[in-house]
Amino acid sequence: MSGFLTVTLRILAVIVCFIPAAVWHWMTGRGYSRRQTFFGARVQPGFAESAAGQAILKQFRLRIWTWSAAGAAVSALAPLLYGDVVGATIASLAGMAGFALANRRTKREVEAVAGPAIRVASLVAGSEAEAWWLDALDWLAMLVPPAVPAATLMVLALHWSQVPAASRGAATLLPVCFGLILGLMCTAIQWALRFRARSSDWAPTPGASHKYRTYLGAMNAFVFGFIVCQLCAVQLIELSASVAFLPRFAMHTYFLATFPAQGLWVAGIWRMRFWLARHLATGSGDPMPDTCWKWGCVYFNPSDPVLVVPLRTGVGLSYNCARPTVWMVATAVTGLTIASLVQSFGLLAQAGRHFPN
Amino acid sequence: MPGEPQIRLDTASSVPAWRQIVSQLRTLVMEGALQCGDELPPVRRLAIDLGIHFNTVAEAYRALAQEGFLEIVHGHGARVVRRGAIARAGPEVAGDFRSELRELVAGARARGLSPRKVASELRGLADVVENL
Repeated sequence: MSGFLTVTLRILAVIVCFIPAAVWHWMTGRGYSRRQTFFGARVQPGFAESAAGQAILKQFRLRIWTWSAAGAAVSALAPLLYGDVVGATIASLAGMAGFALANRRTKREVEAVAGPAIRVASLVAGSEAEAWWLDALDWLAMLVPPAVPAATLMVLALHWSQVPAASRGAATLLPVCFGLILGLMCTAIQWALRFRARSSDWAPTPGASHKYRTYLGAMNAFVFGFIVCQLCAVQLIELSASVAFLPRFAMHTYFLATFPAQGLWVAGIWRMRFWLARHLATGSGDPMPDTCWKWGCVYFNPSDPVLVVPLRTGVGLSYNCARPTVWMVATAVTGLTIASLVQSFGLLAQAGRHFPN
Repeated sequence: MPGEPQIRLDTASSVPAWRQIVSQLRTLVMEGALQCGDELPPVRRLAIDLGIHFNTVAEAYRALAQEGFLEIVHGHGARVVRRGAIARAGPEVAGDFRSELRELVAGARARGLSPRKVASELRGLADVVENL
């Protein structure tokens, strides 16, 4: 590999290490404690702006940036690829560990505030206002991400005889299979948001809640769906030179052609993220006590039948990790992802160790 | 939405959740807020909205079905049904009712409600009962 490419990869790996810290910094920014919680703990109004709250926030930010710098140092100094993985892992865990420590300090410094004792449920069946476009968006977000890799696999299976012998292996199929896993994960999340979420957690009225959850799921599907489409397209383009039924496309032409789409993708996610952040102001949050939130950011409540709840930290969701369904899906996705990664590393090693130290 | 029948679950109360649901649903049916043929949400939906276990809601629905207020439709929740003719209550039922009412009034007075306010609430309730 050329020196220029190695340096570029090193710089990219270092930048990747700072992304989680930047995201956490952003998430704990202005308007962070709108749900009357601070680092996952219920607090009195105004605590976030108080000197004690600001000290906790400052310490949290200092920690995540310092640990991310440590991860970046590992990425820069350790052997390429393996160093990247270790560095990115340190940087990713730093946010969560920093958050857990901030949650512990918040609980220590503020008096416990009880959640609402009264829970209200409507007895009108199907009381969530249904809008056809929200329904359509729900189903699109559920179906498109797994449909693209499934269709790619079907196309490959139907024309397998035309695929050159050198490409008939895991190197071609694994990225598509990985795309299928990501797609199924999007389906599971959107299904849980639609059918296994408590309406009042997300917004005060059922109609607004449905809209908020649909947008959140759509943003998630938009992020992963685009990655899935890229994974599938790249595999098909690589084969297009030798397989008659595929249109001829050079890889650089593909990237040039999809460049505007990638710009729109980023702009779309940015817009949806801000829409969600703006509407967070009206969200009521979960009614459960603080003890249901492990480390302030993982929801664990065996007596609550919901599968997803809004994060107390801002835009996003947490799974109810006490539910067996969540465990089953999480185990399947994690297992298949690890299997794909292990297989990919094996393939790289077999290919003659493309990446020098 | 204001005006639509709701269940309010008090998690701080010592009364079990299923009994709170039973008593509120019974009240809604007896007061006419829920009419014969009205469908209630499925067990799963109501349990999710109230943040309690599915079995708790299922138990409440079963209890009301046994009392003849509901008909359970598997997979679709429950439906309010017309109750069959009820035998005229004997004097012991009236005695029980009087005793429970006195306990209720004593409880309200103990929590600081004035006798005038208790009487006014009872008169309001009497008007509602007479119009049933």
